[in-house]
Amino acid sequence: MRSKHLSEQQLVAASAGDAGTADEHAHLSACETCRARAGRLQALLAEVAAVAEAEADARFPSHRLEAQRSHILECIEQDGRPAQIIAFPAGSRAEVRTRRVTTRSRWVAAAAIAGLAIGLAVGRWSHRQPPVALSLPGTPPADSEIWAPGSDRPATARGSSEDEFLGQIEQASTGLLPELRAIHELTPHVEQVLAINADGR
Amino acid sequence: MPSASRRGGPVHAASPTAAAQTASRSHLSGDSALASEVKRHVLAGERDAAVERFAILLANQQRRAARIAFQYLRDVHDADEAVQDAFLRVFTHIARYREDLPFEVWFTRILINRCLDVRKTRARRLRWTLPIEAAAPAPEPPDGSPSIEARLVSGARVQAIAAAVETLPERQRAVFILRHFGGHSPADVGRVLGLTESTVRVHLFRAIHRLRALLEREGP
Repeated sequence: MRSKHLSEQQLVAASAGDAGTADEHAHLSACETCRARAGRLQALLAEVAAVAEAEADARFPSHRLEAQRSHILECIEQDGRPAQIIAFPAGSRAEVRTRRVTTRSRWVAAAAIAGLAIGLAVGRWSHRQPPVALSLPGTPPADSEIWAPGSDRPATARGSSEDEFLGQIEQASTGLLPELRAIHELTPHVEQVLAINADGR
Repeated sequence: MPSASRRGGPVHAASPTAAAQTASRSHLSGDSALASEVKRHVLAGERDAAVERFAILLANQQRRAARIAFQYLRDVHDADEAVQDAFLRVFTHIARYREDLPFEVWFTRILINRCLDVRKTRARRLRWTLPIEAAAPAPEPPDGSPSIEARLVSGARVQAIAAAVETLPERQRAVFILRHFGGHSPADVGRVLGLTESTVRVHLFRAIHRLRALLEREGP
């Protein structure tokens, strides 16, 4: 029997279940220290293997494996099916018809583009022009010619929305309910604020 | 799903889930014969019969394949992709299967090659993009309660073991995974990876030595 303990490599080989030499076997069965070392190593390897298996099995539960299996078999099924053949258009007539359709569709597309360009150009041009009062005296102003309250000139297109808004406020303030009127009177007007500021200076 | 049961296959093919769950090393020897049958049917042009036999082979090998791929790639989606590709390749190239080799060795070689491809693709992807999410949490069973395995996976010890295996150099890790998680003998590991048996033993020894140093220091 060997007196020297088993080397690390011999121990690993023995723990992995590999057949060692007769000497190694004899030493392992006789030496308590080496048996304990081998036992600890075997326990560690068993733990690592068990944990790895449990971890992989938790990530791949049965339903996942089933889905995977279905997918693999589906792919094989589809791979085996003959490819669908799409009939290729044959003959010159079909080609001519295709060309005609293409030409017509090109004209339609060109007309659409031209229309769009003209529309844009006209839109920009009219935007730059000052608004013209098209209404005759006595006729109600059009939507684009909202008259600013208290002025005898139609508002410009730019200021129309502002004026419209202010006009609505004015209109609302004149026809207020008595309860709201009290609040309105408590609210300082711009002129009042400006006057107070001017006095303060 | 074009399962064997739908096709009226043999009794054990009618429940591929059960077959997958009981997939163990005892199945492995029979799978070489199954693969030979698939090959024979494919060569004879009997596609339906080939797919039916292949479904059983798939059910028998799937669990082991998923374990190896997951340990190798450490990502569920990548492992899923590698396993699916490997099985599809097996069916496509079954005519090349040599009956003198155990099917598990041939299949594992294809699987490892797919894993390497997926790893390369992932490395390329990571070079150009930033990872936006951490690893997906362990899936829970349909009833919503976490399984025993899921609870086990969340443990610190499990994380330590996974991290220790991850630190192994590529070759050592492959050898260790195939030997201890895949259940291959050192000779078969050598055949899968194209190494001599003595080289496999050296890698295995170094891997265990390193794991031991890392894990015994931490304690159970």
